[in-house]
Amino acid sequence: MRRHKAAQSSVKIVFLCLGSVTMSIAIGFAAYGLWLVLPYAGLECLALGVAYFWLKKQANDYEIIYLENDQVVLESNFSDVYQKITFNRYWIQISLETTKTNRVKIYVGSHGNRVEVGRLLPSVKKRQLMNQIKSLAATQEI
Amino acid sequence: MEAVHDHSHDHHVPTGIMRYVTTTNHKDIGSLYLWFSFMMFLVGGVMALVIRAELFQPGLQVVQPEFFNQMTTLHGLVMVFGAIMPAFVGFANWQIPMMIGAPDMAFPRMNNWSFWLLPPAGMLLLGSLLAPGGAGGVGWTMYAPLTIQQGMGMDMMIFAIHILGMSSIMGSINIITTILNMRAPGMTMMKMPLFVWTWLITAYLLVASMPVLAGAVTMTLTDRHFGTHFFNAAGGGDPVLYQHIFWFFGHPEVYIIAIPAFGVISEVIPTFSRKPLFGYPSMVYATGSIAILSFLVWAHHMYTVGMPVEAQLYYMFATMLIAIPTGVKVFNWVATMWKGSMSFETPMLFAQGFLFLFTIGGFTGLVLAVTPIDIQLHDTYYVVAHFHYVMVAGALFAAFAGVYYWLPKWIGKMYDEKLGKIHFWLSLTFFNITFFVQHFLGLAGMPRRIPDYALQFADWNMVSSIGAFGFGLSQVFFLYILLKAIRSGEKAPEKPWDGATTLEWTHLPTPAPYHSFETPPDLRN
Repeated sequence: MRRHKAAQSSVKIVFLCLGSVTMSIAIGFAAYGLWLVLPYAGLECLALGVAYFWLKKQANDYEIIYLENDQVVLESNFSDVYQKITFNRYWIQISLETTKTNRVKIYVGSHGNRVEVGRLLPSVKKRQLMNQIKSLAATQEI
Repeated sequence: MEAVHDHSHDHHVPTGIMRYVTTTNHKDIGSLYLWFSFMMFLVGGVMALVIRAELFQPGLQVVQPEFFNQMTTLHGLVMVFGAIMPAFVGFANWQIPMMIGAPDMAFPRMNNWSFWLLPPAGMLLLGSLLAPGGAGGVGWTMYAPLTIQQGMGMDMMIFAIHILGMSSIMGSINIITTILNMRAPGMTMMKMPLFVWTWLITAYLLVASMPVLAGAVTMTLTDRHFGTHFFNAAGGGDPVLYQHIFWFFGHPEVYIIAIPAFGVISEVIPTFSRKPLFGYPSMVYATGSIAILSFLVWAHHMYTVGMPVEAQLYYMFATMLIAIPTGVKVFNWVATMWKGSMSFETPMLFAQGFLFLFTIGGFTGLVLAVTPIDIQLHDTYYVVAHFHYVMVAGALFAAFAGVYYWLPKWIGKMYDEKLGKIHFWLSLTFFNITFFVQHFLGLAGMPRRIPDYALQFADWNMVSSIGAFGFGLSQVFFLYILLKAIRSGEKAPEKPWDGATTLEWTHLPTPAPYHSFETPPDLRN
């Protein structure tokens, strides 16, 4: 179930309205010689723009792991880059690694290919996900 | 069969001090904001008591005039930027995600940053007292050219304001993006609780007005140290231009404080009237109108600096215009209560106190909007009384209403209802003893920001000072009520307020879990 998000066009309009109001105020003061309002207004609009851009980039992110015949399918879309990878369920290997900074990473793969899954999850949930994938691969019936 | 997951955070609850330093959880950050604001409220309150102790009698008894000026300055800055604003950001952090069915704020790490900028800013602000020459004694408005003549404490105050402004902007961006992008399915804009709407509008106000303040204090800084003359008349600058730029920020700032308070009241009154909010769309539009108008009336603070009659007329009528959307809100709150099944628990009592006293503050605002009257009353205690009716009885009473209303949801325990009611009656009584009499002082001509005064003002000043100490002690009593509730309060029922209809009451257990709405509720039906 997707969350209720403002349409990209609406977000653009909101950003443009807000930005134009803020910049108009700053330009107005600059016209009276108080030009130091301008850099702050610019910085603020930049921060707001980065925030919207970041959200837009991540708006359609998802990762789905499911079983299709004898294949474990990893389907993901990060920053609008779609990827679909399949592994034979009988050959799949799942490993959990801890980085130097204590971050937990799960890798799924077989025959020398492997891919990280669950990047958006916290450590505790990653362990749960690993168990879920294991039981998925071991499932007798679909 | 499939495993689907999306953005979320750790399920375990970290412990110790690092939990709060590193937390990205909106509830933790909300609590940090609320405790920080309460501490600053007590500090600002002590400063107010220094002021009132000095004014207890005519003549100089307690402090020197320079220190008195520093107290009035810091009291204003601490209360506005350190106490009231962070208090409502605390409410926003706790409530917005829960009210729209979001798991957290859109940028949790930025949320952590925006809180942790506050303590250094607070330390700079208060630490300025220890600087050579003390803090700036310029009033919270920091008018030029007085700011140019201050010591190093003034620079510390400027930096503190910069940091506080950064914090506010980060908080605003977070709030706007959270509301626009993280609502549960079916939570359309016109179904959002009014508290969420008021914060969305407030966040826009902050984004539009904060660069102006930042620019103003930066120019003050460059005037002080880098040879510019933006506001220094001695070098060809224009001090009146500073007043314009300050009040262009300063007047929306009043609404940045008041509008979230309207939001809290708009949740409390329907709950305890057991009726939906009357005229929801008109409340949204009225709030938006107030926000827009707040940018068009700034010079009503400056009638006495001299401006053309046409400008005076414009600002007078534009200011009066604000009474219309504000009136819409007040009448809607009253209409919500009309024929409702009302009960008067502590949150509702504070909401009633807000409604009654804020309306008085609104009316005295209308009096001050009238140019010839304002020219008489400018810089008198009438103005002090007016804005304390708006800020204290308005914003602070709404904050109290909000704390009593949501405390069971936050901590899972009930406050002592009897003590809460005593807190309300003490606050209401002492507030009026303190500030109502200041109308008389102002009408009689007593100027503000003076440590000494003529004998004719002695009686009401004494009454006001007694009221201030009573009001201050009442807030220490509030701290006791809070601590008692946290330590030994009775377990709160799942839904202590049967009239509550927002998501945090209908879709979440009490107390709210550390992580809520990881799976969004479906509100499409």
